Amino acid sequence: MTNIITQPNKEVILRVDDLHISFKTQQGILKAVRGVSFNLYRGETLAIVGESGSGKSVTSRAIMGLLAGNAIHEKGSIYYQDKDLMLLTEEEFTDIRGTKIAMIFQDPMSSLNPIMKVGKQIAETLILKLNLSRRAAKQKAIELMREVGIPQPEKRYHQYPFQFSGGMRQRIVIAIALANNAEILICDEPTTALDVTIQAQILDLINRLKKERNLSVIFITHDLGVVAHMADRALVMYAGKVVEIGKTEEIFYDPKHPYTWALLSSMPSLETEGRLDAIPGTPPNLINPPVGDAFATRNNYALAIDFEMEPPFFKVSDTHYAATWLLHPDAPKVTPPAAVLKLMSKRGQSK
Amino acid sequence: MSRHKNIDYNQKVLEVRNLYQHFKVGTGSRKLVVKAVDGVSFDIYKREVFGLVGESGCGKTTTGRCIIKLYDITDGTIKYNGRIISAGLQGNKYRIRKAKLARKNEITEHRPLAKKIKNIKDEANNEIVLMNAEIEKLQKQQENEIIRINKIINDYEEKVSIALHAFESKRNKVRLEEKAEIDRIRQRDVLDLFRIYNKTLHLIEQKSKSKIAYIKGLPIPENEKIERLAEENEVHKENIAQTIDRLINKLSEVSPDILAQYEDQIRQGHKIKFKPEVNLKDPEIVEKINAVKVKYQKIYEQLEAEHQVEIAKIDENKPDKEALENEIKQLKLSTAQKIKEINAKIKEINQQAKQRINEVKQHAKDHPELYVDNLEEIEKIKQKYQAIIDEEKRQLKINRYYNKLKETPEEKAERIRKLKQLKEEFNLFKQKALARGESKEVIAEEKRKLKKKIKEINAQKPSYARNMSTMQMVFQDPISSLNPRMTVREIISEGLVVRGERNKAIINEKVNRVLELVGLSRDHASRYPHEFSGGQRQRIGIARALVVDPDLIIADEPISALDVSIQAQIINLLNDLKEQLGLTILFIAHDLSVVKYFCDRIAVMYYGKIVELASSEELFANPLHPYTKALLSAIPHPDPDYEAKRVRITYDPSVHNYLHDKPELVEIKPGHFVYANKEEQAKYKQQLGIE
Repeated sequence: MTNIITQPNKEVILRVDDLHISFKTQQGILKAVRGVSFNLYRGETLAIVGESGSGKSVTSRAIMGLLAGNAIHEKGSIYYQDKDLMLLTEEEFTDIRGTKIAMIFQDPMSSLNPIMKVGKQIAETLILKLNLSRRAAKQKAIELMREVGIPQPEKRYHQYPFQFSGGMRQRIVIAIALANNAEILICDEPTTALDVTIQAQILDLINRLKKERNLSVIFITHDLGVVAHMADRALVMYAGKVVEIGKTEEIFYDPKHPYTWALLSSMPSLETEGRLDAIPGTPPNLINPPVGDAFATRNNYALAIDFEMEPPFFKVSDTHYAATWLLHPDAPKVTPPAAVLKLMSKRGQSK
Repeated sequence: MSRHKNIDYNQKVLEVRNLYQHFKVGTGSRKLVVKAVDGVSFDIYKREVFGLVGESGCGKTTTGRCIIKLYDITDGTIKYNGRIISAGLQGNKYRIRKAKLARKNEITEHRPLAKKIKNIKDEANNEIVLMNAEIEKLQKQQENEIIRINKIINDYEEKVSIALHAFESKRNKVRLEEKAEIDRIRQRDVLDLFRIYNKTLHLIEQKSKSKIAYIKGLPIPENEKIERLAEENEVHKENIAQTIDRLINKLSEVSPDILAQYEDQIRQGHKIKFKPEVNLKDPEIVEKINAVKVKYQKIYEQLEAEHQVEIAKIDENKPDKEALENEIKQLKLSTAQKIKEINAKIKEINQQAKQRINEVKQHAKDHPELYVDNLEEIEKIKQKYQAIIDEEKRQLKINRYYNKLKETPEEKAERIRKLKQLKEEFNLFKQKALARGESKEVIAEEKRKLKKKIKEINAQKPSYARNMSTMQMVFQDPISSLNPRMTVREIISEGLVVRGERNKAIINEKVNRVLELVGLSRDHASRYPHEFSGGQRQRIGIARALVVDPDLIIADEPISALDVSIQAQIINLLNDLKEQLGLTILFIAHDLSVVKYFCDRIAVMYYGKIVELASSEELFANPLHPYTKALLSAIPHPDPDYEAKRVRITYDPSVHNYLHDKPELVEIKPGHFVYANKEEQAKYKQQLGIE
């Protein structure tokens, strides 16, 4: 694939190469991920943006080796430390999952055991993975709880998840994820279930930990505000494919793909006035993915070729690629929607 | 944008006044009152979108649910389209109690005898309160002192026990060392050899036994078995003999005298248990052992000495335990004595008060002319408070009717009066018409008009269905708010059926109409909710609300559970419906950018109180309350450059000093309300640049 952008001066920590994953369902084979490639550099935050069903969670679960039983690995690989994660056995994966690559899920209540004290849940991973003694594990767990900003960790160690608020629970989940000094942290919509103020705290916490531990973060979300706040680079996914990838500034101030335009203009920001440009219709059914560009039917800027042929990746800059025929030299010139133009003009102002 | 244009500021759809909703939770000592909504007031005008914003747990959903009568509110009133639909009864009850108490106090003022007695009692009570406080203080002091003394004793004992423990553990360690050394001396090679011998013998025996057992179990003829057994035994005997020979050889090298003593027995294969004492009588060993014992005795003495020194060091500040205990005893005694004295004083005060009261009473008996009650004033006061109490009682009674959405007695009287008036007018007209000799048709026409008017008046009679069905709710979760066992038609038409509509044709027509209104097609009506996507399900929820032609829709986080691209669709739909149908919407949400976009006015809630209320432009342009500022600064914008510069403000409720200067929701600028005390109001005004 041509869309693997390798920046020479950065260390690639994880490389996803042409990943195809399908699921066996009663209706047929659902092609959830249809050729996803990207690099994750050390110390960066990569945001994956997309609607539900766009394959962002499936990609992250493939990296964690947590795919459901009905998943089929069709093609492609995920390279970490010169190993292809897709070929590892379950035993080999236990050495990587949790210790090298950790994950935070959306709902903190369902990722904690409700009948086990939270401190024990943190200590458990330490005992299992680092072979610490019980006493040392407890001490380390209390330290971790303090690090993620839980007041009175000695007291809170002995409490159950239901005695914690949503934000505090998410902090515990982060503590468990980071207990074994993982290098890569995958956050699957960690703040969707939280209030704005709590969300801000959790995002700050993740940013702080990232800096302190030099983590590489994959941040999955559908909130573009959060992407702007957190990410160094962003990757837009639609119907199991990457449609645009680039630095955050490039995605926000110079978006090229009509789907990115639609996403940026469909959510009201504090300045939005007038009617919202909602994306019409619903995402396509991936059991029979459409021929050509999957977004064509919902796209106001669709060209005739979009319904016949899949667009390849066009290079916008060294770090910015988009898969749309609009970038082809022969394509007609179109003006993006008003909200996007407004954003594009903002960049000029700030410079 | 077309907002603000259609709002009719003369017509209030909803008036919420001093809404309190308290929940009682827990039992016994853990009993708690959760003040979910704590004095909230706001109006919603016709065709307005009013936003309620706040974190989870701030009471915004509870407010919505109070309005739609899912709870019996604690206090306050909710007026909908000019009629009270919900009123709190606790407030009336509280005010009646308060008025009765005030009446009693005020009446006493105008009765000289009672006033004097009350004054005496009050004085005595005041003094007694002071004394009780003193007793408490004394007890506290005593407690503290005892704790302090006990701590001294405990500290010392702890230190001593720690030292003792350290000493014991050290001595045990040395003892183990000594034992190990002596054991080393005692273990000579011979003994080791014998130990090996015993072990080997035992092992061989075990082996042969198991072999024999094995052969016995084999399925071979008996005689053959015996042969085999004999053979095996031979082999074993040989083995044993060889081993013993080897051992004896070794023994002869090491200790010939012991061998001579035991050789016969060994050769016969006896099990020999050796007692080490036999060899310990060796003077050489004894001497060695004694030397070791002496050496360790010295170490023990040294340890003991060290321990003594340590103990002495601790003992330097040894508290005199007896003295301290005595001190406690003394303290207890003296405190008890003091408390006794104070109690005696209290008794004395009580007695004095009693005596004085008696005196006053006696005085009153002797000079009744001095203690005449001011009956006129008392009567006035009684009347004053009775009016208040009656009013509250009346209100309470009416509120009960309001809560059940029934006609209150007053309304009923008013309606009957109107009907009577109409009938009288008609009779008058009839008489006149007859007198004038007009035709019957004119009278019949007039009668028809009368009947129509009567029907109209009777139709205004409040009823639950009429009042509440024009207020509808759209819920957050489109999955759990739709019954999975009902078809879409059944779900949507339920409201109509409850309201009394039985005609299937009308129901179907209405269902089809709202389905098209919300962007679904009419053949969706026969499907079940699970066949729809999240956005479509939320559209069904909205259709269910719309089918009864509502005036007010309470949308409780209608888009929070939806996907990004669908959220915009639903917001657009709500916007279109608002325009088309002239809806008034109470929009509850925590997503501030959506609220800013969608709402005309916004109220920010924090722990059951509205802290700021303003039009959405004003609120975002001039946020005043620190909580609003914190909330606004927490929103992430889809703009990386802005995000890089954004500074998050955290809200600390302790910045407010509400101890003396009580805060209230005040209009700091036309249309801009903020919850602040006088000092803060001045500050905010300065910020806004107004006097």
